[in-house]
Amino acid sequence: MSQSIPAVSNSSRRIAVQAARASFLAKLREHVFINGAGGYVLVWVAFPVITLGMLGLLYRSRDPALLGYAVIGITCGAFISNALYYVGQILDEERLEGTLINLFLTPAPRLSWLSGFAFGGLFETLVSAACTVLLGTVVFGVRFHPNIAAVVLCFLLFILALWGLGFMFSALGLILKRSNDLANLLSSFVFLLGGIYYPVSALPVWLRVPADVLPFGVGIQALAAASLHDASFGTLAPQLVRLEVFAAVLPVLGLLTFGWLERKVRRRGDLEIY
Amino acid sequence: MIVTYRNPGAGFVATLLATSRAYLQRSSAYLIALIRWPLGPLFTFATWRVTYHAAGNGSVEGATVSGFLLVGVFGLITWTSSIWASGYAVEYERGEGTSASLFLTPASRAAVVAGYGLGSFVWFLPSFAALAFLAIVTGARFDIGDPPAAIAATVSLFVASLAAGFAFSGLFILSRKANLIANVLQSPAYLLSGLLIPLSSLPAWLRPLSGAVPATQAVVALRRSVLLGASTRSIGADVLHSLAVSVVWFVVGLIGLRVVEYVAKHTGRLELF
Repeated sequence: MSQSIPAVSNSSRRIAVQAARASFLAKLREHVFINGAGGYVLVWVAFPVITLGMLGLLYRSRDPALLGYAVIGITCGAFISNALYYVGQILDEERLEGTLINLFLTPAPRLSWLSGFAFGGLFETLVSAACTVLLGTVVFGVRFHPNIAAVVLCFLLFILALWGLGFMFSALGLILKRSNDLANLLSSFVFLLGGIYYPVSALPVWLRVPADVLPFGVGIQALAAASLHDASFGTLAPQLVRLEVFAAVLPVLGLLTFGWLERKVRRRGDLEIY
Repeated sequence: MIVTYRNPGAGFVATLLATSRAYLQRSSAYLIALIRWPLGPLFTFATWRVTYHAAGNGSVEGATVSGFLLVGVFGLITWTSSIWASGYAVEYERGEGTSASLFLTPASRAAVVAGYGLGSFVWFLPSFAALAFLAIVTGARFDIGDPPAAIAATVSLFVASLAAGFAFSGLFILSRKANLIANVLQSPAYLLSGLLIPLSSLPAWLRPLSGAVPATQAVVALRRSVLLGASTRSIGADVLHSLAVSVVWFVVGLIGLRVVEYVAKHTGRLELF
C-alpha cells in the first residue's frame, strides 16, 4: 500500500505533464495552421506596434521619459491581454467545436491542460512583447538600463498575478459563455486603469483608488523602474511588497474561483449550451 | 411566405431593414454584449484623454483635446462597424450556416452588407450620445459655423464606413482568414486616419497610405466643421476626397461580392471551413 501511493502519484504527475504539454502544442499548432506563420506573427504584432507608434508620435516631442514607460507598458499590456483573452477564448472555441465536455471528462487534472493553454498564450505573447521592445529601441531610441535580477523578479511576480487573474476570467467566461465579450469589456477598464499607456499617477485622483487595488499599474511601474532606470531592490521595495501579495493571493483566488464556477456550471449541466 | 417586389428599390430597402433588425436582435441576445459594446468607446475616449493629459497636451490642431477625441472616437466606432458589422456580414452568415441560403435568395447582397452596417450604426447610437456627453463634461468645445458642413462631413463618414465594409466583406470571406484580417486591420486606421492622434504628426512616408483610407478626410472635415467652425466651401475638398476614395472601395467591394457569389455557386466551397 505504501508503495502504491508514490506509483499512483508519479503516474498522475506524468499525466498532468503530458496533458499540459499536449494542450500547449495543440493550440500552438492550431493557431499557426489556421493563420499561417506570417499571419500568426502579424496578428500578435499589429496592435502593440501600432499603439506604440501612436504613443511614440504623441510623447516623443513632449516627454521622452513617458515613451520609455510606454514601451514597458505596452509590452506588459500584451501579457495582460493574454490573461484576459487567451484561455477563456479557447474554452469558448472548444464549446463551439463540441469538445469542451470531453476536456472536462478527461482523467487529466484541469490545472494541467488549463496551464498548457496558458503557457501557449505566454509563448505567443513573447513574440508580441519582443517586437514592442525592438520597435521602442530601434525606432524611438528608448534606452534600457536594467537591473536584471530585479527585472526577473518583478516579471515573475507579475506573471504569477496575471496567471491567477487569467483563471478567474476564464471561469467567468465559462458562466457567461461569451469570453470574448467579457474580455473586451474588462480590457476597456484595464487599459484605462492599468497604467499601460501612462503611469497610474497620471490618472485623476478618484480613479487612482480603483487603479491601486489592481496588480497592473504597480507591476508595470516596478518593471519600468527596474528595466529603464536600474532600480535596486531597496528602491523597488514598496512595489515589490504589493506585487508579492498579488502574486500570492491571485493564483489561489483564481483556482478557487475556477473550481467553484466550474462545479456550478456542471451541476446546471449547461457546459455546452450557448 | 414569399414576398415579391415589383420595384427593385423596395426590395433593396426591405432587405436592408430586415437585415438591420436581425443584426440588432442578434447583437442584443446576450446581456454582456449589451454592456460591452456601448462602454468600449467611452473607455477608449477616457484612456486617450488621460494619455493626452499625461503628455501635457492642452489642445490638438486648434481644438480642445476632448473635442478632437470625440470626433476621433466617433470615427473609430464607424471603422469598427466597417470591420465587424458590414465587413463581417457574409462571414457571420457562413459561421451560422446561412450563407448558401443567402446566395440562393433573390435578395440583394449589397443590401445585406449595408443592412449589417446600418444595424451597427443604430446599435452604437447610445454610445454616440454617451460619448458626446462625456466629451462635453471633460471640456469639449464646439464651433459649428455652418450646420450643412457638419451634416455633409457626417454623411461622408458614414459613406466611408459602408464603402470600407463592402470592400472587406468580399475580402474576408474569400481569404478564409476573416478573424485574422479583421484583427490586424482594426488598429492601423487609428493611426492612419488620424482618429486618435493628429494627422500632422504622421511621418511623410505614411501620408499617401493615410489618404487611401476613406475615413481619413471625412474625419478631417468633421473635425473642422464641428470644432473649428469651417464652412461647407472650405471642407468641400475633404468631403469630395473622402467620397472619391469611398467610391473606389465600394467598387472593389462590389467586385469582391461578385467573386464570392461565383465561388458560392460554381465551386460550392464557400461554406467549407
